[in-house]
Amino acid sequence: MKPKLCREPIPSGALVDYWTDALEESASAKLEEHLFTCGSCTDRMARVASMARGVGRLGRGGVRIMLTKSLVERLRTDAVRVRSYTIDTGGSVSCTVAPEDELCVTTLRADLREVGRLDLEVLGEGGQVLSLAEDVPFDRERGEVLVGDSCAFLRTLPALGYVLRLTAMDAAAPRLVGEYRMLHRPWPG
Amino acid sequence: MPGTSDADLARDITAQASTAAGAEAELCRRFTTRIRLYGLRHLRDDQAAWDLVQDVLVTVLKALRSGRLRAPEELGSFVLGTCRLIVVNQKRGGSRRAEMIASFGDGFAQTVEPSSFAAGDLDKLRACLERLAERDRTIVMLTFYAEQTAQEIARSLATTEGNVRVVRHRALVRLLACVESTPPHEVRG
Repeated sequence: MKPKLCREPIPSGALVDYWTDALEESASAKLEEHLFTCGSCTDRMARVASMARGVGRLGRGGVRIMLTKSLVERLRTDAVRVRSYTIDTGGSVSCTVAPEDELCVTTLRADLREVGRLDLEVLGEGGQVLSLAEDVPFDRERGEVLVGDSCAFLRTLPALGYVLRLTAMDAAAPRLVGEYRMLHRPWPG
Repeated sequence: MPGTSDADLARDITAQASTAAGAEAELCRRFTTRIRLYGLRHLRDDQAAWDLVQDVLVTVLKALRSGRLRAPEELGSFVLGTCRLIVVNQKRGGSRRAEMIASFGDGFAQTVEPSSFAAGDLDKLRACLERLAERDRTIVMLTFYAEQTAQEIARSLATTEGNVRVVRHRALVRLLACVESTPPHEVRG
């Protein structure tokens, strides 16, 4: 039997706002009244909840992400196995991931006091741009950018070198903030 | 029975008709997800949400059996109202749930056995997450992994709470659309 379709389906935006507690109390109450009489919208709400739960699972190193200090603290609280590297501008680091590591956190240090928007590029050994992340989150006061990489992904890489490049994009012309050389080696074991 | 209206289910149970047992089972099936979502949204705890499902269904079935629901067409509102009352009582610390469930008979636990709550296709979700802008992805992770409020996220990203809400809303609507629409082979890699 086909499920009944809703004549006035709740917009997806309202469902996600409800789930993130971003709706006014009266709107939230009205939405709940609808959900309790509508199987179709309940199914859609369940998909939002399921997606939120999936994101929570991927938070433990399942996806590449720019981190914040508080997110790193939460990961440590949750006993996520974190491997950390810290590099100053112009520096380099030899890095690897152990079999038990879940997330690799690389802290890029730089003077970020005058920076409004920051882009992060990954360059290959020949200088070619492998990826570009625009407008990345950063901690201006601490002068840090925290890059989180899935160790499951890093474990698939052969020995290789690459460069992380930070560029300030808010001035009239892009300004190089710093470059950081990563020398990745597979786990020797 | 699946095509029967909520009101007819309520009438069958109250009248203790020959179909009452089937109607009770169908009511439990129909409202389990709704109550569970309500519980997850308001209690943010998996076990507490399952406990709420049991508590609410016991209360509702007792009310129907004793003819205390005078307007069967308002069954949805009645179940929602019961959810609200029980959550308020739980937050006040009052709970007689073990006693209440025990008094309802041994078979009840089976009728509300949790159906599988799909975690979703994590590979697909991961690929969709990676399509988001870096800042958006960080905000989504801070919301669902670190369980931070918009205010807390705003503080760690040095932005406004309003900006976080706008970015989060946009990112989640996009993420949901991606997860629901993109065939897995198109989002890998």
